[in-house]
Amino acid sequence: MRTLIDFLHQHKLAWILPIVIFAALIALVAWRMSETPENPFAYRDT
Amino acid sequence: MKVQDGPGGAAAPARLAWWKVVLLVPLPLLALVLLLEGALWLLGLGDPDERFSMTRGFSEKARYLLPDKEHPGGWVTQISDGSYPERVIPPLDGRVRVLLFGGSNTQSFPTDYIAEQLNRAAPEPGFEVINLGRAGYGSERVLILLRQALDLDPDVIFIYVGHNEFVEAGFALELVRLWKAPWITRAVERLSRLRTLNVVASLFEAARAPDAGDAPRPEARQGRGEEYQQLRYEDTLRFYDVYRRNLETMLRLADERDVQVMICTVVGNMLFPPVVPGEPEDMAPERAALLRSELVRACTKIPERLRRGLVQTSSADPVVQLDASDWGEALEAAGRARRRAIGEAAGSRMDPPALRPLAAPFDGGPFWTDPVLWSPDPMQLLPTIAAVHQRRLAPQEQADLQEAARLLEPLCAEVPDDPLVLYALGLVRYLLGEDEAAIQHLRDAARYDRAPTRGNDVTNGIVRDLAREHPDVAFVDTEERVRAACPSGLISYELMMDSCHLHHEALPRLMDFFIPGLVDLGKRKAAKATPAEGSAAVR
Repeated sequence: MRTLIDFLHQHKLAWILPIVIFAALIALVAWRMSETPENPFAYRDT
Repeated sequence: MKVQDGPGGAAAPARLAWWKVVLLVPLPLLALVLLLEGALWLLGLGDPDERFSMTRGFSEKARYLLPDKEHPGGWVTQISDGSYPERVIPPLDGRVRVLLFGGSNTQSFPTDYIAEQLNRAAPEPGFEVINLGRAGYGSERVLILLRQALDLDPDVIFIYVGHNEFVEAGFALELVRLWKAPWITRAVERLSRLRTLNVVASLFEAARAPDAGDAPRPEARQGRGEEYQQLRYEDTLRFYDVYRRNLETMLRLADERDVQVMICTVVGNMLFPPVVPGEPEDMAPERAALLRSELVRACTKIPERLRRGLVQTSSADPVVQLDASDWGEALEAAGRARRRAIGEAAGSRMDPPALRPLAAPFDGGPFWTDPVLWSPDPMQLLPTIAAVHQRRLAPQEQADLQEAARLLEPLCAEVPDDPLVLYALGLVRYLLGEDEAAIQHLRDAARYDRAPTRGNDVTNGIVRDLAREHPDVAFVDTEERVRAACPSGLISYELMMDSCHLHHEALPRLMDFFIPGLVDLGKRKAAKATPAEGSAAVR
């Protein structure tokens, strides 16, 4: 546990960066899907 | 842990070894993802099976069933786009309620006949049969409809799907186009299993979607997109994964509501040529082109009378792909009258050749409509089908077919998943009387079709697997039972109008496969009913 705390202290970029990249990836994928013409969410009027 | 004194005398942590850093880097992200996924799971949000489909893009918000304002407790469907009358579903009346789900096959099933047979077999408590089949609906739409139809409090649901997995425009196809590379699409598909992604996507949806009112209509039926022509087989397989997932979800939903289920394999025309053969994969374009020309050379060895309309060797002899309207089915009264007038004027083409006699329960055919109603296409194709089944070969024809087989075998060895090669070899082997090998090749041709318009060994295999995994679910291996009635186990135009529809006159006999199981399910449900839930009724 102490090792983990030291790591979080000493290498902030090393663990924050993967989280930021993951969040960006999720946002990108979700956004691209929501703008797909026949996406699973957009209601299409008949 | 070794502690060093800092400049001010405070203890400062020692530098971590590099390998510890490497091991620890993914931990916070993993912990965060696990925490998020766990929290969303506890909250019941973002279930990928509920929210996402990689093959279709149909809205879960669309309402397929609406309360009937004129008859409290009743319902009305809105699934037909005005092309068919909508179903009016009365309030529950104590009979066993059976719902039929599927595509155009289910839609064409004789509902009155089923109800009559069920009520004859078990007049108490009696059966009510409601057909919710709709042309073009594959497992994706059926799943959405089924989820909503559970509000009708069914006792038994009957599911006959598998023909329409490649019929409507597909979300996965659009994703392929959107993301350019299939590997990205596959990565996205894996990512979509995360509840987190589904929740974020829902937020985008809420921000983008216009207000569609309280009961938005289901999307209009969409035709097959051009993208289907470009499918690689690995893409095709992804559609089957979703088909399995959809069926599994249907069974789970029914189980949660204590609804009895019958699932079935579906019946396909084994002589129907591949619809989207694709190109030979992982092969240099020059070799692929050569292979196609070798295939044409082999096919031209098949006597023309035995391949016309079935195998294309040039633009002058196209494959004939019949549909229901060619037989005068699915035509409005005016269209039928016009057909009849044309047919009667051309009396000479109203004498179709006899095909093979079938065994019980499909004996006594033919089952097709009055030939006077047909378009010219059935009369173009049926002489070929009749000649193929007769297999009366002149010595030269026999030699030509053996030569065709000799040319096709190395092609089949080189590209064992090419639908056109498999189909041609299946046809040739059948003509040569090698039935077992022929049937296997024809089945494989359907299996490797990149976007088939009928069920095949993959979809039927999935249904058989699910039946084994769910012993409480009633199962009818429709395809095996129909094959057993067909000579050589080859299902062909004696029964089939096109790739997947039986001639209507044959449908009651098909229904007889399902009646005993449905009666048992109804009785099982009635036996489970407690006195508190109903008097003499099921509930």
